[in-house]
Amino acid sequence: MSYNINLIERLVLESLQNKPKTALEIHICTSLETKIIQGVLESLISKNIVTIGELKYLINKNISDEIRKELNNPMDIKIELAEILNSTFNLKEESSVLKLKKVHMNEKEEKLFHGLLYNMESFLTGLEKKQENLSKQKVFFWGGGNYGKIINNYLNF
Amino acid sequence: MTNLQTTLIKRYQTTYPQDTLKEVSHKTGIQITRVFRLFNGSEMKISEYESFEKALKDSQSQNEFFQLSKECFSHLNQERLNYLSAFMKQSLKLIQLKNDSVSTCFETEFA
Repeated sequence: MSYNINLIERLVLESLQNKPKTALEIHICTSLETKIIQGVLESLISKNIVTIGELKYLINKNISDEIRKELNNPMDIKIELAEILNSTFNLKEESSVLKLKKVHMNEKEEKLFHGLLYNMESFLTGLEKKQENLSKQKVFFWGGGNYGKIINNYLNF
Repeated sequence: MTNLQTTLIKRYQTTYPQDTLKEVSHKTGIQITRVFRLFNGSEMKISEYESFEKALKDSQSQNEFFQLSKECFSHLNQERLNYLSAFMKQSLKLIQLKNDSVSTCFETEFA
């Protein structure tokens, strides 16, 4: 039985990552409706993932191994990624794009591609991490694999 | 009672043969006394007609869903079933989070 953490709960946990917050501060940080924040907090508190200290909500630093395992359940992470892709796909804004390309690459081109990817990752990692409003963050995802292996995996899933 | 109304009520009674007046009222959102009158020949308003249509439509999609679930359960492997279950649990959890009521302490904090 896993905890089935979802995108909203992840967002609330991210908002508490750097410092404890009041519900109002979480609201400012995430732009989530107060009603939803309350539901999320209740759920996280019931699992002892979040606790209350000095009138602020904070992430429990002593989460049990069992809960930690539940939070990192590969199946839930898979669903979370699928939900991100699904939501991005449904976005109608011009600035939101979801692209997929199927291409042939020789060894040299693949090395070049990985070099470009490395540069992009370094750029993203180097960006300053601000905690002001998480909902204003941009979300990027990338990845790839051998088409045949992807299909094979799909067939065997 | 118009032909259209008779057909609609018959369709409803065939789909939900066991429904009491209270259950019909719950599914359609029409008051129980009004449901009684409609079943006894009182003429339906357009909004009431739509409510009955909606209740019937809900039933069809519900049946399809249950049928599909059964088929999935019979044919899919455990990993796929776990994946679908996890998806359903997350969808349910999202709805619960959106619908949960606001507790008093929280209201105070936001005030």
